[in-house]
Amino acid sequence: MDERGTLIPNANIAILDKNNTISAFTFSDHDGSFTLKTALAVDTLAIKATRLGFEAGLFLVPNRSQSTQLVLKESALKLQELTVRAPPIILRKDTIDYRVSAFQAEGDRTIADVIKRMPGIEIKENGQIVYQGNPIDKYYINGLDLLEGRYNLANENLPAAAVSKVQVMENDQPIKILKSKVFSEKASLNIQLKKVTTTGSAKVGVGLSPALWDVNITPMIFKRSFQAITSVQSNNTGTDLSRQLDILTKSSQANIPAPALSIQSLNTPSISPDRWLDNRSHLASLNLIKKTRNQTELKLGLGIRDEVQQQAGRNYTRLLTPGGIVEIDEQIANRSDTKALNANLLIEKNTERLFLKNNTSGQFGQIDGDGKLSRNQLQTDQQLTARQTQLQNSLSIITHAGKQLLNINSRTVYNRRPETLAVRPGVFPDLFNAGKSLQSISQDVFTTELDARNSISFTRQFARVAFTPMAGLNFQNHQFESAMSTQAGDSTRTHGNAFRNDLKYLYLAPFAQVGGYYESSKWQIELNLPFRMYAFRVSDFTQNSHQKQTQLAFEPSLTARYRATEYTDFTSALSYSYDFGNPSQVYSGFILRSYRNVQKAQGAVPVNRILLGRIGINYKNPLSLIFINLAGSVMRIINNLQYRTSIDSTGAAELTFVLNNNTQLSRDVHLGIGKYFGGIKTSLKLNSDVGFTRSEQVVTDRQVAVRNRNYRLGLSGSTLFTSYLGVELSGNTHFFQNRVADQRQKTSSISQLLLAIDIYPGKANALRLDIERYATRGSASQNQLYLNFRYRYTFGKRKIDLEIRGTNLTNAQNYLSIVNSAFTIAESGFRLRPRQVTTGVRFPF
Amino acid sequence: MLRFACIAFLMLACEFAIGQDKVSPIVSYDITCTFQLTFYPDSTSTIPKTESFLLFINQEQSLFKSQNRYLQDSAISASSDRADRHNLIAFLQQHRTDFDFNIVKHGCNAIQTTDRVYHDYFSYTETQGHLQWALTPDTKTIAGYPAQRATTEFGGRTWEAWFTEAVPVSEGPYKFCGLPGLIIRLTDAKKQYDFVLNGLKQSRREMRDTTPLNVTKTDKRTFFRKRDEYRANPIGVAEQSGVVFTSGRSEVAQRVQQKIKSDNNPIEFFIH
Repeated sequence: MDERGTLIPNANIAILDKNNTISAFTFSDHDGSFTLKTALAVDTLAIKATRLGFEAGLFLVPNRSQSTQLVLKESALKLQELTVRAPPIILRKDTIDYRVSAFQAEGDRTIADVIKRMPGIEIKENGQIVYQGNPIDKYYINGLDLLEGRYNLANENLPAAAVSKVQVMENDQPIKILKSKVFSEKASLNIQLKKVTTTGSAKVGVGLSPALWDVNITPMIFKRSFQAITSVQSNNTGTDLSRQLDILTKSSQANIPAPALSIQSLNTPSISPDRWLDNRSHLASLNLIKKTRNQTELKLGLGIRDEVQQQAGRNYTRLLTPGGIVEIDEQIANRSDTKALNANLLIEKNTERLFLKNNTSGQFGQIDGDGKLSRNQLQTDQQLTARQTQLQNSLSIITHAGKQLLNINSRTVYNRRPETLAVRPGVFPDLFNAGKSLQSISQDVFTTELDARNSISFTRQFARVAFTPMAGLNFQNHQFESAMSTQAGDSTRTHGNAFRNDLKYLYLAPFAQVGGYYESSKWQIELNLPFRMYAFRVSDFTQNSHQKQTQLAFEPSLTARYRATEYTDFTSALSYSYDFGNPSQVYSGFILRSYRNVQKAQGAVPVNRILLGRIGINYKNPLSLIFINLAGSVMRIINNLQYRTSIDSTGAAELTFVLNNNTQLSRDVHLGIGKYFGGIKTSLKLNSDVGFTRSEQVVTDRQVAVRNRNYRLGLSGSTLFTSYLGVELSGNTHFFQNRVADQRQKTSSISQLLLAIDIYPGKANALRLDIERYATRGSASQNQLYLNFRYRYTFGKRKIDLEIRGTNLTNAQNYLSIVNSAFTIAESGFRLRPRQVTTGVRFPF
Repeated sequence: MLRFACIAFLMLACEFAIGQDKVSPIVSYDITCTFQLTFYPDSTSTIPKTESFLLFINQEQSLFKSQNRYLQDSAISASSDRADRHNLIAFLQQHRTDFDFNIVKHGCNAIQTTDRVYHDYFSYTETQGHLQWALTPDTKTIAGYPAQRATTEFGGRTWEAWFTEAVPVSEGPYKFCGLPGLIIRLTDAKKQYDFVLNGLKQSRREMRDTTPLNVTKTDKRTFFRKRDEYRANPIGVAEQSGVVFTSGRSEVAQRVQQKIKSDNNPIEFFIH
């Protein structure tokens, strides 16, 4: 009964033995009575009575048959609570869930900060997310692909606190109608938010010296059927904004070809851009997605960027030429102004009955570059203007046609690119002005390209096998024009045919293929057998030559995946394909590509035959939190042309080729291991690569084998073993070995060691110290040390951060990078950003 | 086709639930426990599955069900709007469960189980004194609670339970109870079913009784017989209840049989 005499039913009554364990027990009846017998041979019995809502009572009674009354004191009993700790990683079939709170450190602000700690996932320097060694194919937020591959914008701005879990879907087939009909090797990533919400982050910072600013305002809206990310960013603190607009997935979007002309530039350091990037960048981006009731998605993406970059430093290049060693020593000060605009409008319907996707996009860019260079006291000015327009439309329709799946793909890309390079005073007087000096030289190049790819296919399912016959037509039309003019004295001269190009390159490839796909619970196998006919016509109007060539190509490919256990799977792929180079390899008139590089090639169509084999094993164990991937690949390329660069004593390079079959062989092995120790919140990652290439080159009319070996070892660990201290340590070593014929060059290496220490002295204070050490060994060697610190004070429930940052505390001046290749040694000294201090405020919405 | 049948079932489930929701009484619970079950539904396979379960406890009664079943029931009663139907079905598909039962204990001698065979619901009670515990002197600390070991026979398996006096409720996962403290770990001797307490929260939680309205009261023997009948001929039972297969009947039958074949190791066998 209780203290007021009310009888207590359903109380536990237990007899304890001397070890305090229960030897007998019963429960009180409706009227509070109980009977309890014991066989214990002791004088005094310890009886414990417990009941929810009462304090436990311990009663000592003599050990004999008796009736006794136990009185319990009423109390709001506080139970010892146990908080649900979901495991950090859950595996369901092909989906792996990473619980964000298990990996989040105190100082992590964006979701990218947390993702980089997750075992099995790696974030590369450009922001690309790699899962088990392969880049992810899609970046979804709450299941919607808002950014179409430009996911840095979300990944680097979305507050980690808004995210509940990060999911990786292995072998994700994003097209619903193709599920279990068409194999996908790709993994996709989904960011699952805690709730549909408006979120985002903002950051405003100022600093010295010179005057610095850093602004980033990125609001985001995530609703069930509508999402939007907008962003306005501007800085001159070395934050590279172009990455926010980079497409990081392999998409149907065509790449923008690299420009043909350039200003002589410095090798950019292989360290974080905010150490060296001297910039003034502005960016605005708007991304919307709306999902309608009938499962149609409409997406709009707009991005605009304006960026001024400056670089200064020194280049020292040694070229091994048949005529001896040429040394070039250049002081460089470059300035470039890049304006870029991209827009795309996309409509997508992705249901089990229909897949329809149409993407229309345009990219416009302009680069104005200005290079001041002095070589052996001789000043040279370079001016480059390049304008780029790219328009493209891609359409994909997949639907049922009777029992078949009908798949139509069409993509058209148009590129237009005028470029002008002016060099003052003129270079290569021997070539352009019979040895007399030139005031200036001006090179114009104009490229237009039209590329259309169309295909139609049918997929028919027979039990576990799906067959896909496909037919298609690819078409390319390139036009390549160039002209050169020089100014000597008062006269301007436009050079003749030897310095002009007017080339039309037409390419037509009809093809037919049959593909098969087999899926069982263990196996996924895809086989494609395409026959393609490639027809080329190259018309060189300056030479008045026309060549035609047709080539029949059989390009089979086989991909297989075997799931040995739930945790282990094997993948392999084998393919044989052809590559026919590009028009910039077939022009015949001289082009001044940069102030010391004048090139021509003699027009013949290159034919490269590529044999590629790959095998890999993936292991993931979500219980012991270990992820392993091991992959090896072999590539053998047979080229019909052998290129030869002849460099004269002034450094002028001329590219020629001979028809001579030669083989290039490369072998790579990659090993990645990720392990997470949940108890001590520690994550360890290892990444290593071994690469070997062997190619044949012509050096002074002699064919020699050039062998390169690459070894890379990267180890990183991060730990949060107490709530006061976090440590991140990563080391990376890269060895490079080169052998020409039997001559072995000196092994060169680059090592970097990064140590970051986070200290959280109080709840609101956070201190971070970054120490970076770089060591370069080779023809020259150097050691460099950088120090950065950050102090952060967080206040309020909304986690507003006040930050003070100091970068490059050691005030290192130059970064020296060394690039060795078979015939060149290039050392670049790049001027770094000086010691700077910024202060700012950062808050999530 | 099977998928369609599943969706059809889920929609049916919504109809039931939405229809009955307004009249069901509200029960408030004081303690919420979470258990993680690791089990082998296929005794021939070495691949385990896991599922989370919730045990709600108050002074008078307790309710035990799988977390996904709980989420499904909550989602169904929360979405009255028909426009939400599509989202609801997607939600239900994301939160599938292998355990559809609701187990309500009014003390350890009045245990009522509501469970599903195809889409009919049945409820039955356990015979009194279904658990005969044998206490052992073994003790250890599990999840921070001092625990003592006890064993019993039930449903064709020998079970080992670790209970703690620190939580003075005579409760546990599944149909297990009757010890002088909460069962925090429960494992059968073959280690095919293993419940581990991984959460305990003491706070008031009000809940609607979400047991379906059209429950047939029966006894345990009849329920197990019905279930065996369904497992022997799932397509027949489906057709009896009005499902018409327009095409691919044999394919569906094959797949359903395959699924049932791999689900051969239930937590409880009926002992005559």
